[in-house]
This record gives sequence, structure tokens and C-alpha cells, in this order.
Amino acid sequence: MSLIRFILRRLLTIIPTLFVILVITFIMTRMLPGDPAMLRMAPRATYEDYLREVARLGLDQPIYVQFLVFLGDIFSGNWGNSYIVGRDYPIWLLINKKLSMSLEIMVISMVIAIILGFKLGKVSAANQNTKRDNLAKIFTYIFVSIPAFVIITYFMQLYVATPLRILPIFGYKTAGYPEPPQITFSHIINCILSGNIYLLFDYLWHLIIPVSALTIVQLVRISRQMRASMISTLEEDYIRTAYAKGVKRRYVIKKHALKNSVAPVIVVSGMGFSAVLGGMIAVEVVYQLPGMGKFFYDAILGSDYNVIIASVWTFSIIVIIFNFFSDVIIAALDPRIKLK
Amino acid sequence: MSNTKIQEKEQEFNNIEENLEGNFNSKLISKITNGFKFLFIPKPRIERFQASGMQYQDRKKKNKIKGWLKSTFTFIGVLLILIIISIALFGPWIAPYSYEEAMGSSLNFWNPPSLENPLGTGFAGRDVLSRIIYGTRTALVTALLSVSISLIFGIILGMLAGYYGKWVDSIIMRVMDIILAFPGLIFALAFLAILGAKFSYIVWILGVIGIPYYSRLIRSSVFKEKELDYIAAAKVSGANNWRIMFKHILPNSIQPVIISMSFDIGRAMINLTILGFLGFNDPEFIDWGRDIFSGRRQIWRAPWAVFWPGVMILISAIGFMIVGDGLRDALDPRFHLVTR
Repeated sequence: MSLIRFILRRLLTIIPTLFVILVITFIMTRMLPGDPAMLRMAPRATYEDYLREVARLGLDQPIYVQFLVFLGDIFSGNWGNSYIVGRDYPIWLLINKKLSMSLEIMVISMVIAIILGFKLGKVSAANQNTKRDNLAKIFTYIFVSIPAFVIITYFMQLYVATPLRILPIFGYKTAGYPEPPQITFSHIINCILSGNIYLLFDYLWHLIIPVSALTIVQLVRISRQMRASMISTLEEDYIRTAYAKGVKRRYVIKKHALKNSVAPVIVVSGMGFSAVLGGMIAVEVVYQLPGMGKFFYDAILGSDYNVIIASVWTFSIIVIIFNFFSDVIIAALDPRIKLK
Repeated sequence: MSNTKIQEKEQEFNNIEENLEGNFNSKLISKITNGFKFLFIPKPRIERFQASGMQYQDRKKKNKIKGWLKSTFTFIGVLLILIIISIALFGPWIAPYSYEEAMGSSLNFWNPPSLENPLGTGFAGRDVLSRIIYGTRTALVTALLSVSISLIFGIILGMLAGYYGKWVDSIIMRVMDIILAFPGLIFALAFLAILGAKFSYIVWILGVIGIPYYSRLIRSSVFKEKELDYIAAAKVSGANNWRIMFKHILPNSIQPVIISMSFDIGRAMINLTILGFLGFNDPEFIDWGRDIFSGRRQIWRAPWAVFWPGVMILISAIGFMIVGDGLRDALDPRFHLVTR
């Protein structure tokens, strides 16, 4: 019961946040240098054409009317048109495929990072000062501060300098392979449903490097957090009581220590998701994957402001949704937060 | 007792033994039964104490090695930071080429490492070694400035939120949530695309992105400190609010902030590199990420142009992270929330 109340309270706090993000995005649209009507003028346009364009774009109305129109556009799916992909192609149709590809890669990397990070942190904390722990510590120290694209760049160097040419260095499918039919939102499920196993393996083979680059960065953070919080949990009194009662060590760790040390790790995973979004852009640019990150980056380079604003809005919604989910999970696991 | 009485008791004792020796059977039986008795009594405690004593000494030795290792790690981290700071300070005297030559162009581009260019040349014949030396200055100054912005505003806002509570707290926390809702780098990229990539904008944006973290840390510390007695004593003595906040509460809650400051400098350098890699750095300054960006296409011909800036970002970030870890272990070994 209190969980539902917590969820409702959280939703109520999200709505003003969303509103403020909308306002900021709107201010960004109006802060852009250049006149959108002037940019759309043909070389020999007249002043009447300019005025007509201004009226068409709705730029001569007062600012609050423009804001209401903006809100209406955002919520009805009319996110403007994009210059860089053909002339005036509606963004809403483009974002669908790109967002699904980006989200797929991000979700796969985060899931792998969370699972492996949990295991690594748990092993490291449960066997302190043994060989396993020391190996894990060395691993985390080396990889704790590598940005994802540096991993990819070094891997590309490895590809270049040695005859070790196993994994592909760009793209998401080999040239000449067909696209699977767009039944669902996920490329992997599309490949499975279309029955073409070679496409699926090809896609997975291409994805190994970007996913592992993003995963390593998050894995290290999550395992460090898990190790620290488990060490502080294992020093509590109830763990000592459990040992004194004769409970076996593995059972104590699994039942008592793990659940109580999970909360800060979920916080770090939520923050890690935002970090993955940032790293995703660089990874997509290096690896030439047609996802949201590369879309956003090309728009920045090509001054396509509609795409910039639509991408910022999309990314913000994704981050808000994932933060909301991580808060709900923490509240579900820890009754003290529910009742606060 | 007198001497004679002791001698009497001795004789009695010896007599008992002589009595037993006379009766062979009963002595043998008593010996066997005594032996059986000792079979069922558990081993004497002294051996177990000796064993655990040896284990304790082994553990002490391991702890010594672990402590030495930890302190060596921290020593390496401090050494790395000192190297980076000295490279930044003494840059113009160390670098083989001057600043203008490192920003200029010449004809021998993408050369392999040779006698004139110890690490090879890069984009327009620019010496890689000088570029990484000058890049250290940019990275360090940007990171320090943006972390100080985050610190100052984060501490002030966190203290206000924690001390005054109620609606001030909710407003400030809402603003922090909004800042957190934007994935950091995407916010930075959008603003830099709109406003242009100048040094001051980069520093301010990287600073603003880091504010919510510090304000949350300080706010939770202030909540705990507010209840303590010395604050009540200060209030009763007539201290006004600002004095209490900055003379009493701040020094006691600064410890996690110092630890995360060290991690944050490393994170700011990584963020700066990612921004540079995507092309958004101030064109007047030399940046490691920008070098990786320029050299990306030529990775087949000139891997050294991309390798060395990556190594520099790695060692500087790793140095700050190791020192942050060492600080955390030194100041509070039970610190719960790992910062990055």
C-alpha cells in the first residue's frame, strides 16, 4: 500500500521536472543563433515571402502563444522536420528506429554490467585479501577511468597494428546483408522473427565491441560500489550474530548481506545509465552506428536545431523514466524509504 | 610449613607410589583406565591457542603486506598527480617545440617517432610530445576550475537546503533533480552547440553538471549535524545562522566532499576529453580529446597520434582516482557511498 503511495508521490514530483525541462528546451529553441525563416529563404526571395514564412512558422505571435504551440507539437508527435536526413523529413518517424537501436545497446550493456558488477563486487567483498579480491581490485583500478571511446580506439589500433582481425571495427551489419522486417521495436527480436539466424549472429558479432566498451566502464563502477557497501554491511552486528548462530558463510552472504547492501548500488546504476547515454554518443560516432547518439551529433555539426531539441527531449525523458524506476526499486527493497 | 612437615609429606607421597608398585595388576589397570579417560577428554586448549596464535600472526603479516600495498598504490597515485602537475607547470620548458609550433603546421605530418619528434607527428606536422605536454595544462586548469565551481555552489546550496529545511530544501532539491535529469554530456553538447565552444562556457557547464552531487552530500551531513549538541550550544551563545553554518557545521561535514573532490577532478578531465573528442573544445587551446578526434581517421597510418593522448588521459584520471581511494581509506574506512 505504501509502495503505491510512494509511486504516486514520485510521479507527482516528476511532472514539474518534466515541465521545467520543456521550458528549458523551448528557451534553447529560441536562443539559437540565426533566423529560421531567413534560413528557409530561397536566394531571390522577397520581403513578402519572408513575412509569409514567419507567419507560417508562427514566429510573429507572442512568446506564450509560441510556447503553447510548442507544447501542443511536442505532445502530438509533431517534432519538426530534419534538414540533415533528406529535406524536411519528419523527425518522429526517424527517431523510432534510431532510438530502438540505441536503447537496445544501452539496455544490454547496463544489464550485463549490473549482473557482472554484482558478482564481481560480491566476490571481492566476500573474499577480502585473497587472490580473487586482489585480481578484482587490480582490474578495477586499471579500468576505473577509461572513457568508453578510448577503449574502442585502442581496440581499433590493435586491429590495425596486428594481424588480429576478428571483430569488426564499424557498422552494425555487414554490407549487403538485408534488413529484417520492422515488426517489433528491437532489432534482435526482428532478426529472430524473420527466421534469418545469420542476420542475428552478424548483428551480435558487430555489437560485441560497443557493448563491451560501455559495459566495462559501468561494471567497474558498480562493482566498486558493491564491494564498498558489502564491506560495510559485513561489519554489522547482525552478520556476526548469524555467524555465531552457526549459519554457513555462503548463506549469510546471500541472505543477509546482499540484500542490505544493494541500495547504493542501485543509485550508482541509475547514475551509470546517464553516463552510458553520454558515452553512447562517442561510441556511436566512433563505431558509425545509426543510433540516437550519432543522430544528435550529426545534427550538432550540421546545425539542425529541430533534431537537437528533439534528441535532448528524448534523452531527458529516458533518463527521468530510468531514475524513476530505480527509485521505485529502492523503495520496494527498503521499507524505510517507502515510509519516509 | 616447617621443613620436617614437608619432608613427611614427601615421604607419604613416595610411600603411596611404592605401595602401587608392589601391586602390579592394579597399577596396570589404573594406568589403562586413566588412558581411556584421556581419550574422551578433548584436546587441550593450549594447542588450539597456539594454532590461532599462528593464524593471527599470519594475518598480521598479510595485513602488513596489504597495508604496504595500499600505501604503495596511494604513493603511485600521488606520484602520478605530481608528475601531471609538474608537466603542467613546467610545460614550456620541457616541451621540445614551442606553443606556436605545436599549434602551427608544417609539412612532415603523420611521421613515425624519430629523433626530432620523439613520439611522432600528428595532424598538421604537430609534434605529439609537445601537444600532450601543453594539453596537460588545459585539462588540469579546466578540471580544477569546474570542480571549484561545483564545490562552491554545491556547498552553499547544500548547506542552505540542509540547515533551513522545509520549503527551501524542497526547492533546492527540485532544482538539483532537474539538473540531474539531463544526462550530463548531452546537456553540455546542446549548450555548446548553441552558444559556441568557448573556454568559459565549457568550464561553467562542467561545473554546473557537478553541483547536485556535492549539494546532496553536504545536505545529508548537515541533517545529521543539526541535531548535535554543540549546534544547540552555539545557538544559545547567540551565534547567527551563517556563523553556525560556516564555522561549525562546515568543517565537520567537509570530509566526504574532500574525497569526492579528488574523484571529481578525474571525472572532469574525462568529460573534457569526451567533449574534445566530439569536437567541442576551445580552438585556441590544445586538448587531448581533440587530438584523438583529429587522429581518428589516420589510425591506419599513424597510431601513435592517437595512442599517446589516450595514455595521458588514462594516467591522469587513474592518478586522481587512486588518490581519492587512498584518501577515503585514510579518513574513514567505513565510508558507505563510493564516489565513482
